[in-house]
Amino acid sequence: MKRLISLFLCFVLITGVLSSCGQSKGNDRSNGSGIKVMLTLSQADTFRNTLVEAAQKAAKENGVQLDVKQAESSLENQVKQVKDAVKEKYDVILCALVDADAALEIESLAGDIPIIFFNNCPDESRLESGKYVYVGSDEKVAGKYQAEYILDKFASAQEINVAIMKGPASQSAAQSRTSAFKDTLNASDKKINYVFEDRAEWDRTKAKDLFEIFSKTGQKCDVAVGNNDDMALGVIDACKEKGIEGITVLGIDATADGCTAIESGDMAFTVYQSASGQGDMVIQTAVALAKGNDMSKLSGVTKDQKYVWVPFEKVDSSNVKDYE
Amino acid sequence: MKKDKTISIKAKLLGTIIPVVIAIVVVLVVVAYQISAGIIEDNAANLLKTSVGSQESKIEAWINENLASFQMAKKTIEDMHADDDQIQKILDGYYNYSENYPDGLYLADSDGKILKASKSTKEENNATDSTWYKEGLTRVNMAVGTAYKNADGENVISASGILNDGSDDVRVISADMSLDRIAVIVNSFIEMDGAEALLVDKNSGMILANRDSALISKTLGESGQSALYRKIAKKISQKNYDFTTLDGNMTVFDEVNGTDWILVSYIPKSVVLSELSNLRNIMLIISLICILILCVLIERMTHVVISPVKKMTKVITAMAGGDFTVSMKVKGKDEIAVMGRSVEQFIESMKQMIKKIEEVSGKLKEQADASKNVSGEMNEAAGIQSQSMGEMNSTVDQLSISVNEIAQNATQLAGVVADTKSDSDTVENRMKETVEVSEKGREDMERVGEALGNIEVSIHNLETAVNKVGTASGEIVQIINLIGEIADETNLLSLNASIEAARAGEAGKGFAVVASEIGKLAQNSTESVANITNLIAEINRLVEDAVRQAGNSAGDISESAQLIQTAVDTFDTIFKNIQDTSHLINNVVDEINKVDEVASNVAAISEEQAASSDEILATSESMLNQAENISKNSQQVEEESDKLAISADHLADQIKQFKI
Repeated sequence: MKRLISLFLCFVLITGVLSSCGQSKGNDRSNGSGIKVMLTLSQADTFRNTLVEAAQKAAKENGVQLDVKQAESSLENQVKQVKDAVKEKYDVILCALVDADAALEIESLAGDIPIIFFNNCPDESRLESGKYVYVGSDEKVAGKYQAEYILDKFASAQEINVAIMKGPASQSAAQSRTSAFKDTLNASDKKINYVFEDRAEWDRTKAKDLFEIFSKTGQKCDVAVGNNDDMALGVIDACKEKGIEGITVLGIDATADGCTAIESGDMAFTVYQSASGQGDMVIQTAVALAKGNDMSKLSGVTKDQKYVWVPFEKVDSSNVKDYE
Repeated sequence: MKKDKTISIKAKLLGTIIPVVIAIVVVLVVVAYQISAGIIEDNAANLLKTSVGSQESKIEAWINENLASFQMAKKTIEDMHADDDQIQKILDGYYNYSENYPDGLYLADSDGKILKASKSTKEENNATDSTWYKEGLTRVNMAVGTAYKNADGENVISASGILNDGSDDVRVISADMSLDRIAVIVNSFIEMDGAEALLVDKNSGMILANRDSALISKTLGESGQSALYRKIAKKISQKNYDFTTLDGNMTVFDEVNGTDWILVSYIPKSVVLSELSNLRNIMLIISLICILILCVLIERMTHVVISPVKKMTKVITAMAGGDFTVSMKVKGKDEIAVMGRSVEQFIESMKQMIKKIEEVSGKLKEQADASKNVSGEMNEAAGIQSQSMGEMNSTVDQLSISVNEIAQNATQLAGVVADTKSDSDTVENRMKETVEVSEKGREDMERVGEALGNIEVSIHNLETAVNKVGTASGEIVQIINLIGEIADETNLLSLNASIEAARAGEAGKGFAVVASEIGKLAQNSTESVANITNLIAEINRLVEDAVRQAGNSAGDISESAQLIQTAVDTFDTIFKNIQDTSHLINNVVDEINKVDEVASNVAAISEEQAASSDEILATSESMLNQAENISKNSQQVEEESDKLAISADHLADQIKQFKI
């Protein structure tokens, strides 16, 4: 009996010591008011500007103090901005990384301040639930939507010849979009021939050049897919120049040019990445993190709470007007 | 003393402490092992992930390095717009330039014409049907394709792409890397000891690199491969590249950028935990040693602590046996030392006490003996006293009896006198009664005389009355004679009437009947007159008798009256005699009363005397009882003092048992 009691006491002691280590500080703020958030943007462009505007609007609605800094494609600028954020005691940093590989550096500079990455996704190993989170759209879904459109359109065909214009090899978005696209197609019962697959580096001209070279090989092509709208437009340019017809062209991003191409019938399909949705979501996530790391109530949060996905939207001739 | 099964304190202490210590150590080892296992597994997983990441980057870098070389050559050719001779020179320059692609670069056009380094052994019968050519047509930037067997039967992977020299001819430039070479590269990049890696083409499932070269270019998960490989194949086909434990192996998947390759690295958990089992063994050995040291330490400590207790136990046991010659010598200042010193003090005080008891018991014995003697003497004296008292008692008894007899006699006498007195009273009463009776008798005699006179008068009256009856009956006879005459005349009349009726004939018939009836009545009246005459004659005879009788009675009564007068005279004489007797008796009664008083006094006095002698007797009896009691008590005292002497002897014996 005595032995049992002493054993029990040992366990109580050990568990007590272990459990007392894991206490975390709570944050008692009820809504967004009083939260100081800094946003550092890699480079301004149409998409990112839309995103920042949506974030500013959401910040105003939630009573969050949002300061936007431009890194102008300079990692040095971005690093300096993060250091300033620490000095000025911001609650949360919103960061569109200049370089995805710099995530670790940014995180160590920020110290205890949680960081919400957006627009450029760092490696998964750099993310941590409740501290380092990525808000964006799941690139795989974009590639999947393209593949689904093709499978739907060529439902009766046994064999589909596909050309792919990819983004830079180093960019995760390009890789994810391509692999999800190919995986979805490969999973179908159709014979998929990848007649062309090369990197056009997001570039319209490069895509045009590559497609022209491809056309020389005389291979049959049913579908040309770009990892973004620009590259898809490059394919369209090449087709127009060479007088090639009957190729279904798909892009991603629903840019103004892309939408115009859809309206004119040159492009069949694109996927809209909601800049305003992401801008809204970064603020929501910032509030959740500042309040006490509870992200479970955010919509689109993954199980491991490292990602918050803002859904993509399919765009074709039927709804293109909504995105112009 | 009964020999109980005793459990030593040492055994108790060891029996309690050691299991607890063992339990705690075991718990510590188990908890430490579990936590360490968790940490080590996490670390191993992280290490494996890092290792795979780094391996993947190295493979990627290796490929990119090679591709960069190819691209450079390609770019040179493109920018130069080189003719075949120039190309040949460039190709020759790349021959054996790198071990990774010993044959260097080669070109094929859409007609199947091949340009290659002069020393190259590359054989291609139908270039446009070859894998590298077909793959090369799908890209401008050179990239690695799928593995295939070349004309030499060697497993190779080609990096190929369209040569973009601005001409309208389509030409594909390519370079071959053998899978064996890739396998060497892949395996040489493994960072973690004990880990294995394999490179798989995720589209075809072909194994591109493996330490076991027999498996290279085989499809992953084919029959004959290990269960682990089949599970890896399944995971890849499901496109599930998360870290997982398969078949006891920690397995990491990583896609190689820019290719369709998947790098799989795995390490058996047992390898990861082998150091942990060492740690566990070391912990077990250390804990075993600790327990042993603890056991010895506790054993020694308890021995040292308990040895005075043992000594003390011996001393106390001896004390329990009555031996107080033992002594304790203790050192130190702990509780046990204090206890020892206290025991020592106890022994000393016990010794002194026993000595005193011994002395006291000796004295006690003497006193017991003395009291025994005294009580014996006392007993004798009491016996004598008792005897004397007995004798005195019998004397008083006799006295008492005598006095009682006197009293009895006096009482009897008084009784007799009293009886006589009552008898004389009775006699007196009887005399009075006799006087009264004789007076009454005389009165009665006188009354009888008077009654006889009255009777004489009455008889005279009766004679007169009877004479009057005689006269009255003579008158009745005359009347009856008259009636007789009337009846005769009536009878004559009826006869006449019947004769007259008969003559009247029929008319007188009724009258004839009445005449006969009157005749009958006259006859009856005649008869009655005769009867009454007889009756009166009788009455006359009876009255004459009564008168004769009354005359006789009157004579008798006169004689009785004379006799009664004589009796009354006699009575008077008797009465006088009785009255004289009564006087005499009264005198006697007076004398008797005087005697009665005297006798009563004598009886009362003698009774008082008897009572006094009874009291004396009772007193002397109680005195006798007390004398007997004294005797008994003195006997008891003697017995008690005997017992006391015995007890004193016992006490002395007991005390002798203590050794001091």
